[in-house]
Amino acid sequence: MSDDHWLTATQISAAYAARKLSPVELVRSLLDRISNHDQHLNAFISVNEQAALDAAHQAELEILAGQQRGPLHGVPIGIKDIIDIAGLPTTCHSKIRLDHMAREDAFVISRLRAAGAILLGKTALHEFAIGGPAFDLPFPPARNPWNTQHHPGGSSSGSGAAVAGGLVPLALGTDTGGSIRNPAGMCGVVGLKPTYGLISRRGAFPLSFTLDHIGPMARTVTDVALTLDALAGHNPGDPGSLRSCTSDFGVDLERGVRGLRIGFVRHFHQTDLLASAEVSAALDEVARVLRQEGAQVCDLQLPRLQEFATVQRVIFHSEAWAIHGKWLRERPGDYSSISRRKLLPGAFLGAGDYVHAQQRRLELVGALEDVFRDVDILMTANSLDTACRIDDAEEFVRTYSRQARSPFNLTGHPAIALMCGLSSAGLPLSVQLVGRPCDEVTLLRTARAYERAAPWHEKMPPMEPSDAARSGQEKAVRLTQSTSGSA
Amino acid sequence: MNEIDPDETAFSAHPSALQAKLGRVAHQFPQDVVIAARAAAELQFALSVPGDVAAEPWPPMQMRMTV
Repeated sequence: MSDDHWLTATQISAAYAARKLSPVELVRSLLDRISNHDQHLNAFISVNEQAALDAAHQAELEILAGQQRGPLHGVPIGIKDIIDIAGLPTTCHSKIRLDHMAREDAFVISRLRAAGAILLGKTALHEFAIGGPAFDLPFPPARNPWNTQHHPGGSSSGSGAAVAGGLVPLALGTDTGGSIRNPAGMCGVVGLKPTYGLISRRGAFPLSFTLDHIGPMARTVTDVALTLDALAGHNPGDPGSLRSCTSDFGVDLERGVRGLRIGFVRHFHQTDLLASAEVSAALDEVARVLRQEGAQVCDLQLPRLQEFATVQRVIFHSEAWAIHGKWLRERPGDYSSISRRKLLPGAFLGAGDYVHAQQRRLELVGALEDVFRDVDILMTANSLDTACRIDDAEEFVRTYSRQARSPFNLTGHPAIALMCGLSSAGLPLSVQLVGRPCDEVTLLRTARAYERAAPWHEKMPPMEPSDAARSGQEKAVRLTQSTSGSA
Repeated sequence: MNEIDPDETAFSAHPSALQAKLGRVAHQFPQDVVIAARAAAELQFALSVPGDVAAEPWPPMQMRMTV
């Protein structure tokens, strides 16, 4: 059996250049892998088999003709099914959108096509990027490759599971309160929420306009950097899109952290909320490794985590209600119960609450600007617990909000999550690093330095099917794609 | 999920649910409406008033220069 499915995008690109691997061969290998394993993971809602093979043939011709466009040329990628691909449905994992058909590519899809990436399929998510692992939706919830009885994090749950499970080397996620970094952490991969506006959101179904981000997920920091290179860029059709950006985010990846000042926001997980002992110990170990690599790591004080969370939630609920209010009033039964409960609070918030939250938001941005005068990077917890069982609704509700991600959706700072250990139950532990606005270069450099010193990314999940999946209780339902050539 | 006091489901007829035009959802899923209303009330209680109520909220209005 070939191990091609564990190749990183960087390795794939090098293998293409050396004529040791072909895009068609790789896509066929991944389609086999999906066929064998996705019945247990439910990572994909739809797989664009024919279109992916067509794109692979095209990439193969170009590469053989010496026209390799760049590091993503011929590299397969999974797309969270909240992002439009022309000619395919964007279901948002919801009954509400089952009859939707995208007429245009999202901005990020156009960028990926230009880079030569192969759109392998649409990945599962929490309904509308807000719900949770629900069993009353048209598609089953994605499961964690490290233990399929456990939740893979969310809302970009399928993207995290697909990358961690070796079904695809890269995926796109979206992140409004941590939805890239949560599954990255729970599945033991790398997930980046870039600076607000660095990647255009145009063509992704919104959840909360001023908090939404799109970002890459991969098994290594290097792969995240090269995907970011392809995705970043100004879009005049997106009012939140930044006008100027760097074009080479991986330029300092191997530079190490010697001399960098890292502020450890310990109070998030030790005072404001209490992380599990394993998470806390793993974070201390990350600080030790970064010091050993030459960084100065000092404790740092920010406003309380609850302050950030309250402001983020008021904004999120208000903006999400503006989008979902009509459907919720008219078709409440078409939402999962967990989505209804998460979306309805917006109906009870007032305009004054929203404006006050946006004013408080600027004060909190100011607090971050203050600390970034003294440090180059912040280090915080990501999740405060490991992944709970997927069928334990009570534990899901209890643990899901115990996180330190949403502050940086609120402030717009770039943040990356990566694996930093394994729990005694064999589930990934993770850390979050945060950079200055538009300084993804230093952020990725720091993440890479840690990854190199503590190569947790080399650990692969055991991929044992769960009892539930093995017994066939839960069958993956996929949309069949008859169109070809659209990827 | 938290159990709801049966008396609280009377909230479905509460004026604020009706004002929010939640009649149908309150009728079909009264517990969800109660949980949501409680969550909103907790957020309103926790949200502190900004230090300067005259401060420009984020994001600032920007003129579109399309012509």
